[in-house]
Amino acid sequence: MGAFEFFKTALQSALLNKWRTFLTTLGIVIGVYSVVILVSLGEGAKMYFVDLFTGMGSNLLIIFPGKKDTKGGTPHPVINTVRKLSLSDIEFLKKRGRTFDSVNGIIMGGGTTKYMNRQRDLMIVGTNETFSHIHNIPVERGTFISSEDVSNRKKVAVIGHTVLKELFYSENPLGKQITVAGGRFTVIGIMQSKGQSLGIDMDDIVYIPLTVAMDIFNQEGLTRITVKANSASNIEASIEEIRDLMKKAHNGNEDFTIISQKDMLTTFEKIAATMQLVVLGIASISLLVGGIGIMNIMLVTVKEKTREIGIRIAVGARRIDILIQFLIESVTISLLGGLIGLLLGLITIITFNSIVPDFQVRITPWIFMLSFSFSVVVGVIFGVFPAKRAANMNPIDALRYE
Amino acid sequence: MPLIELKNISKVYRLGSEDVIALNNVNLVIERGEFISIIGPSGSGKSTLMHILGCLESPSDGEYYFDGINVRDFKDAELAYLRNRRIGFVFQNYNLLPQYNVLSNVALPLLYSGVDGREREKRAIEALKSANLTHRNRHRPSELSGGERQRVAIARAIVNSPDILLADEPTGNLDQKVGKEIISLFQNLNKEKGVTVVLVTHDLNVANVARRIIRILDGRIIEDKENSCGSI
Repeated sequence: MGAFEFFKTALQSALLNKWRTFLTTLGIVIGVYSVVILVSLGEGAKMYFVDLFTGMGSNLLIIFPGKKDTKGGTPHPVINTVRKLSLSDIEFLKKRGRTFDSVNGIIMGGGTTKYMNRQRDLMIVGTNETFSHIHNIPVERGTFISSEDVSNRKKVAVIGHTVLKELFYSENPLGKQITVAGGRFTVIGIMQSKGQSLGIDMDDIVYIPLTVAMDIFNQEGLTRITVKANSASNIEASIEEIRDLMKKAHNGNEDFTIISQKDMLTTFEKIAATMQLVVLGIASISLLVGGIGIMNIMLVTVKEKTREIGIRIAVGARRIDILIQFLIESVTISLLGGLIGLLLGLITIITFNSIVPDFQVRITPWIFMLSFSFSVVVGVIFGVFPAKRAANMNPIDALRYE
Repeated sequence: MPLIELKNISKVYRLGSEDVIALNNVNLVIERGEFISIIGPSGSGKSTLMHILGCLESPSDGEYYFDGINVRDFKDAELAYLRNRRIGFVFQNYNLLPQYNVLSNVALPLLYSGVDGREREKRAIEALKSANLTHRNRHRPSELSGGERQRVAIARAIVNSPDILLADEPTGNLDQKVGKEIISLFQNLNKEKGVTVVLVTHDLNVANVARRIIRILDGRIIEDKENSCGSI
């Protein structure tokens, strides 16, 4: 009996009891559906983070205050013995660094910004002249904060697009006076729009000189220092050099942590991989339940077809023919479920992507392979027992079965 | 060389803690082209004999030679081959597959002979012609009369041109007139195609058409005689 005949027989049998077959496939439908959705969601999240980190700029190394042995993420706010990152650290790195070209320091805080009678609570970032270069955010109009602005503690501000829209409407903001956290600032530039990142509106920010921000927030320590390495191949060397220089600047203490973009990405990928495993575990439970449903129905089918099995053996079917016939029937039912689950999954993903354009759920090619192989494996595993029972039937008893 | 030779065949079933002897030391030789009736009361072992002849069951003891070959050590696939190509079964209750139409039912054995679709249909139509049933090809068994169903079953049995037809009470569910037609169909097949026919029955009138009648009782052959009034 050829493969085609087997499939024809299986389909005929499955379609003989349409409702029964449909209900049996539901378990597999739900199982494959959740696998498709969750795996695609995970892939989408991975891509989202990769885009996010590469969007931050490339070859970046970030120095945080405090020592932390594990890599990735931001370190805990550490106890007071820690020496803070200071402006002199930036100057020292700038002067002595050879494997990197730009050094940028940042202090972040919140505050109210006012223009005329309009006001807005937003993020205030104190930084120096390298920020725009390091993070790949060019100035759209005007200029960015210069090193003179920083050293002379000039009260100038560069604003993001949201600030522009909300405070100035269509007015030209360049040269206008705004109030930032109580101080009067002159607007000298507008940043190019960057959109949202991790739920933060990157355009709802006012940038001011680092030194001025330290005064306003009454802080001596920087939130972080970011260094841009000369080239991707130089990252390891840069890390070593920064560690040496920073230790020198900090009297030989390693009371800081250097994190590369790669470390951060690896951490997120690890989290994503763990999540996907958990999710696959949950999905396989529903596949298991679906499989048991198939086994149950196949046992009923074998019982119902007892006489047919006897007839087939009498006219010359081998036991292996009977085994394959029922195995293919269970695989067919399972594949049918897998196909429906996959289709529903794809429809859901496409709908989701068109509703939420910011976060794209990714349809990867191996999702098709995954759901196909899941269905076949479930069909085979849970079909073997009923099929064996069919193949081992005594033909005489089977022919007499009423 | 005889088509079939049974030597000291016994069959013992285990029913609970008791052994039931269904066949006891049966010796039987069947030549090519014979038309044999096997008669005996129910429980005499005639059905068991048929199943052993048809390779659906293996004997507990003794030797079975089919066309000179001992099938004792045959594996499942080899026995299946014999049933498929060389033996045709006809049952009292027809045993057709209800979900298939007449043509597919007749072609069923060919599925297991690896015959392709077009050839299957051709040979099924031929077999149906030999069984005197035409113009019913697309009907389901449930739409046919008892006699028609038995003709479909006979067509299925001969579709692979077997050496021997084993018919187990083929007229048991039919009225006398139709029964007669079915028996004469067997006679024709025997005469024209040279198919060996073994007919199990408990109806003496049916048994009487055969030239050789074998009587079975309690698992033994008690009589094996030429039948002078037999037409074949």
